[in-house]
Amino acid sequence: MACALISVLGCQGQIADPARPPAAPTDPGVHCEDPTTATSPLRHITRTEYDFIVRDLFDLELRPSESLAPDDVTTGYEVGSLVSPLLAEQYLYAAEAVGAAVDLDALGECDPAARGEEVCARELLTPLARRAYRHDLTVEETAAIIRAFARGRAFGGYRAGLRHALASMLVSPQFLYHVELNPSDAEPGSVHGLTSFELAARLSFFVWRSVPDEELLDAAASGALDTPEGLSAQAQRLLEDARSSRGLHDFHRQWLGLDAFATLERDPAYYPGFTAAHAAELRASLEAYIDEVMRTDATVEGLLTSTFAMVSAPIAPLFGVEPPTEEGFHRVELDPDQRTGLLTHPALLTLLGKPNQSDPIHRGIFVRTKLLCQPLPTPPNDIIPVVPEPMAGQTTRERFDQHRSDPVCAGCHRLIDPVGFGFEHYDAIGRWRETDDDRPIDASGEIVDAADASGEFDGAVEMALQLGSSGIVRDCVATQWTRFALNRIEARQDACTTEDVRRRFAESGGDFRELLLAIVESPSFRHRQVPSERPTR
Amino acid sequence: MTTFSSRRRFIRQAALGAAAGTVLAPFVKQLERGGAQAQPAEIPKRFLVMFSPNGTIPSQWTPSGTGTEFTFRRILAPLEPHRARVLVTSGLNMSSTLIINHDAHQAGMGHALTAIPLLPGDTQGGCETCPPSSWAGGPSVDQVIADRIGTTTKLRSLELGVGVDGRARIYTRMCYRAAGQPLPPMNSPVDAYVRVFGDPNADADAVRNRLARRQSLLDHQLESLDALQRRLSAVDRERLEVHTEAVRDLERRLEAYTGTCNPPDLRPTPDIPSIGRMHADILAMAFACDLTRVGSIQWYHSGAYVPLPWIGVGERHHDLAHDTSPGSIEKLVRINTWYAEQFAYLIARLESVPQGTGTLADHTVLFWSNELSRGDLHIHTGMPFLMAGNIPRASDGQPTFATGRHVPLGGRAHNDLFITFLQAYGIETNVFGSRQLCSGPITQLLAA
Repeated sequence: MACALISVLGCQGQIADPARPPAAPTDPGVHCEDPTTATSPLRHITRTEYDFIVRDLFDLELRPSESLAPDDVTTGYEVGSLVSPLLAEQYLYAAEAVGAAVDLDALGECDPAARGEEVCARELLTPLARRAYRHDLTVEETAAIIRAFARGRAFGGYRAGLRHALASMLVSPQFLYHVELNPSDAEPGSVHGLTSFELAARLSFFVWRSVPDEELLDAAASGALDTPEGLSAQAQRLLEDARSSRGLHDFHRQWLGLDAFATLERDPAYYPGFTAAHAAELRASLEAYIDEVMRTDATVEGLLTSTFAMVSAPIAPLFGVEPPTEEGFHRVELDPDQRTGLLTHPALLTLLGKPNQSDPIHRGIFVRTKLLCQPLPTPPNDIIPVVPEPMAGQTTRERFDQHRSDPVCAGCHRLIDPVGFGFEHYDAIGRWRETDDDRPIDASGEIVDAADASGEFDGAVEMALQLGSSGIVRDCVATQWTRFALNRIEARQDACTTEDVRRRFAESGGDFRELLLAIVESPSFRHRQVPSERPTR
Repeated sequence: MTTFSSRRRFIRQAALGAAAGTVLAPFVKQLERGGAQAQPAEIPKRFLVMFSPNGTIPSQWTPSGTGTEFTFRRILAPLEPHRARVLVTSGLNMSSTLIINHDAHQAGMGHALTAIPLLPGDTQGGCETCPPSSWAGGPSVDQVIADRIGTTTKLRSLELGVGVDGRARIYTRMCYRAAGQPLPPMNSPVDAYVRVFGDPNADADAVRNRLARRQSLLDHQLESLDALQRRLSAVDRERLEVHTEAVRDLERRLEAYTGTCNPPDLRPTPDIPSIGRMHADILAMAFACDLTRVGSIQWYHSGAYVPLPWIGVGERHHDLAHDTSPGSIEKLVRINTWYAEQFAYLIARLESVPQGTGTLADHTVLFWSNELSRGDLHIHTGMPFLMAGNIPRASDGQPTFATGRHVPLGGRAHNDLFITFLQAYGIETNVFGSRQLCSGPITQLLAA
């Protein structure tokens, strides 16, 4: 039953804080007068990106992602690392399926009988390929597409040729990979600006999760992206476009782990009537909340401390409000003593809940890892962490008392439990409760070892206000968005970028638009480092 | 979750009985009518792995008695009808997990079939002195076997999953082509069925046509990959080369596969137990048609937080595994007994397909793997490993393994079990995974 009687270094005193850059700009190893960045390994497009590309290029609602193997999440965000044999096969089938589904008549006007089949093929396919490959086509690339058309035509005529050429495009590495090339004769370790097309692609995939549109490609081709003003103008255009919701939703889906709603279950003995439909509705409510925050108060404080929610009839009881009379989600003002922002949203509290009880441990871990960027070790391998069952006569806080009393456990749990207990007013489906086991809730807590977010609070509302106004949370949010944008964990060479981004984010009062612009305009986003020539193994 | 979209129009929802035994019977008749790929002169060997998560309750798993005089306890009781085919290899340790002390679930999953330390990476876990990991540090035993016996079949191997978490990371992958090269399992029986069998209703012309078009696509892809290769730095070239090799392999196999196979219709139902049974059926049929010779079924993933409501367990498996109360232990015994039933079903599927004078079960080694022994203690000693089935010896065609026994192996490294397997499949080696842990094959397992 007890934690094993071994000494555990655990979390004593020091937490590695990756939210702080490992090297300050004054470190002689890293100078910021010249741009620096770390290497980015070759990546393939993610399956989310594949879906959006197909929608943008061909206006198809086909979802190739459903038939593609999952992307690597070792960085915490989905990155296309290695193509397995299964994925290689699935890419083939996806290309066939898309090629077969495209509405050829919507590609453009060209009468092959009048103008010639190959002329039409070239006219209809090359603009698509330019967008699919994210750059002006080389002579050889165009020739390869025409050859593919010809092979396809030999199988079944002009239209079959077009489909075959489209499928060929979709198995080409220029489509499947985010290709970024070294300048010829570049020294290993040297840093170079991305080409305009490479930059355009990074920008559109970051904000829209998809290929650039014609306007962005044209801006790249004309050199407009080569100046800070030109890049900023295009970045702002993309952010103002409706498609920017894709990047926003994709980031939050991964940062907050929203896919877990699909398999979430509650014990009907404790939460009768809570169904998969409610879980889905909660997720949608949270996403609608994020959208509304971005529309009206797009700051970290807005996200963490707004006192409204987007409520629909089926889940109104979870918020403790009257159901709206009309269908869909409606903005409802909440009681600020009970609800403040993301941390008190029933969706998040449900995600961080056990089937039959609240989950202070995982709620505390969420705050530590996702809002403070302080990773925590898992329990030592040879102790027996016992999950206390709900028991009459004990509140949740009392059931977890061993974490506090046993020194082996306390090393880490002093960082987690006092945070998690702050959420005790909310049950495992996010409803406000005044009592736990018939005793009044004690939601007092404390955040320790967290720079300017440290301090005591009583309840999650106070905690949210404490976190929402802190620099460490703001910096952590910047780190999360930067990892998402760069598709890797920040390295020593990204110190200049990290500093610039944090400074701009802070000076803007935690404004998300400013954050995304700062990331796009940062050295790490606009440059690449040539890898060393030595293979990894 | 599984999607059964209308695109899968050729999976007819026929009114097939789901009772054991009926699904493969009509298929076997078709085989005899010559509708399947011609069997090679020598019956091929196959290999199959099943994985279940969160360890077990060793006191209810380990048989009492040893040798041929043993009695199954509760958890393995479902294997009693197949007693003669089962070889319980108790007492093996995943000693490789001790070389670098990673988080127990990361290590358990990554080492289960590779027996070698994990690669460093960005995935946090473990104690303060434990480095973050990325993937396993070497190939899995099934892939080494596949490299030997799977070179000519349509698929080198088939990785299937039941409810495997959608995040690709160390906790959810057990099969590896090589260090850092995980193989994703397919959760959808429909997708797996189509991948393995294609469209069984297509006529020969349509199949040939599709094949020709695919070859053309792959040719185009290889040309483009080659052109890009030359412009990349070494580390990126390596990455692209993995993809390129997969495409070349795919092209070779498409060319080589000319047979037809007429599997029975699949009746897709989305409940978990049915998915597991469908996967087992697909593997058995794929083996029978010689479309692949190596397969695996991964139930969920390490540390799975899933309830099993179909056996009346509403709590999540991982939560129960950490609860030592009698009520929870009882549920854990029931969960693991249920997994034993699934393993028994696999054996039964293979037994129902005739091969030569015997069945598929006489030409397949099945291995049941886990990530932990005691889920509560997070330990990797005394692993609940066992094997079933058999393959003929090269020397005299007699069975390789002396099955129908419980053989306690006293803390030997599981590297040695895999060396035993490799040698049985004709791979001449005395090492697998971490070399320092290898003593050689476990000769006690072999028939005289």
